[in-house]
Amino acid sequence: MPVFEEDPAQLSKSRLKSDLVAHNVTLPTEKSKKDVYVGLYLKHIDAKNAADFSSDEEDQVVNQGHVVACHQEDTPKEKPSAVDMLDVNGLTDDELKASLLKHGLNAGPIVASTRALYERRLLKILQSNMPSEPTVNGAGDANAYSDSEEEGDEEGKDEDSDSNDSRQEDILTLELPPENDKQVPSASMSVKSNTSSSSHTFSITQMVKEKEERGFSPVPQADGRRWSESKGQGDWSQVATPEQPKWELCTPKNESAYYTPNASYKQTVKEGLTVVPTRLYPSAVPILTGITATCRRPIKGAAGRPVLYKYPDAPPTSPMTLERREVDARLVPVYAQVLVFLAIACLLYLVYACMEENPYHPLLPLLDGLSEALESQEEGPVGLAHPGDPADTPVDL
Amino acid sequence: MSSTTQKHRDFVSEPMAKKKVTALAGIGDALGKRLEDKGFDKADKVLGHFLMLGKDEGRFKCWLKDTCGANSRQQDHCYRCLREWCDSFL
Repeated sequence: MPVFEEDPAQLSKSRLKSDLVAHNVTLPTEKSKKDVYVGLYLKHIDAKNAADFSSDEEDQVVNQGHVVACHQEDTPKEKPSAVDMLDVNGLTDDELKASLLKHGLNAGPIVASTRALYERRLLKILQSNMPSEPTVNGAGDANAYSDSEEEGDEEGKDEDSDSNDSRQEDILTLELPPENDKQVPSASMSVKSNTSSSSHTFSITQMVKEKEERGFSPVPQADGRRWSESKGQGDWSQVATPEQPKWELCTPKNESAYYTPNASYKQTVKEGLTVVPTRLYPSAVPILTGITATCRRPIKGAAGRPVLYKYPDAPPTSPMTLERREVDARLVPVYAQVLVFLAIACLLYLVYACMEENPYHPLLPLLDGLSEALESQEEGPVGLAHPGDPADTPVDL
Repeated sequence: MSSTTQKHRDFVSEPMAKKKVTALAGIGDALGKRLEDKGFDKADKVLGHFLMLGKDEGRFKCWLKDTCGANSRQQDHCYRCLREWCDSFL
């Protein structure tokens, strides 16, 4: 193996990791920088090689190598920035626009005045990618970015798809011998990208085993998926395919929880809580679902239920009755209307009758009597003197 | 004074709102596509650039030629269209 000849600084982080693992060296934390790996690499691996050969030369070489490695460790980080500057300035408008688009920035037209602005933005984006090397949360992401930085920038703005695939596979191969649960979920996180199903199932079986030890059941579900909670890993290979909706992962310290965005219910795996799908295991603990069902209130007055007047008004009044009452309150009462009508009718009839000169009119004597009465009233005081009562003789004394 | 095209009259008669680049006089489908590729997907962006060039005829026509390959007639139409719009609305 030409390990001895290769400069560790030139190896990718994943390669360093694999070599360290191969030499049974404990890996440092995921967030450590590459030089840590390089240091370990040199310490253990080169030390081993040195043990086989003569010591002095190898020590010198090791030292030099270490120094060289350290030195070279610095420059690759500076190089991308210098390279970036050159690249950005050297890009044509179209290329600048394309690279901005690649980084997710939908730039407007690049003109003389706007070019400087967009160049600065692109630089910022590129520089922000670099420091994310050691500090990103997810292990897979950290690996991904660091690798791409070392591989991608120096090659220019090549497509990352190839490096993507290789780096994802590297993640899988490296992280599958898990030391803690963090790596297991991160391995499953890398499931998001299209990876081979065999390694996929392997990671899932790993997870299932660990889950079973703790008595939990992994919870990804989707329509038509089958669970292998207690049954084992048999079904898993069919369950999780890359084209399934992406799984989001929440990783509390020791446990991992799976969420599916399309699921109708969320499941959180906490310590001491077993989560089981009711479909398969109806007798088990009910799942915390988002669905709540409340008992329906009985319909008042229906099906023999007594109508209890909950409201202060005695009879429930519909809007129509209320309107009618309002209208009725304003109008004249009906009987009054009828009386008025009759009175007016009589008057009109009398007037009509007066106008008519009809001797056979039955009411004519009445009318005559009325007119006589009227006349007699006028001559009353005078007329009293005229009709002398024969019985009453004027007494001449 | 040369007669104006219908397109010119349509453009100049109202605020350009969200009109596409192809609404500009002199800019047809092919030129419009090229402008859109460069990022000038709306007429107001071309207007912005026109204003930035100081409404200068020579500069604008030169820019238009470089950007989308417009010939002199198309450049002229576009320039006059924008100029008149600015006179009316700015």
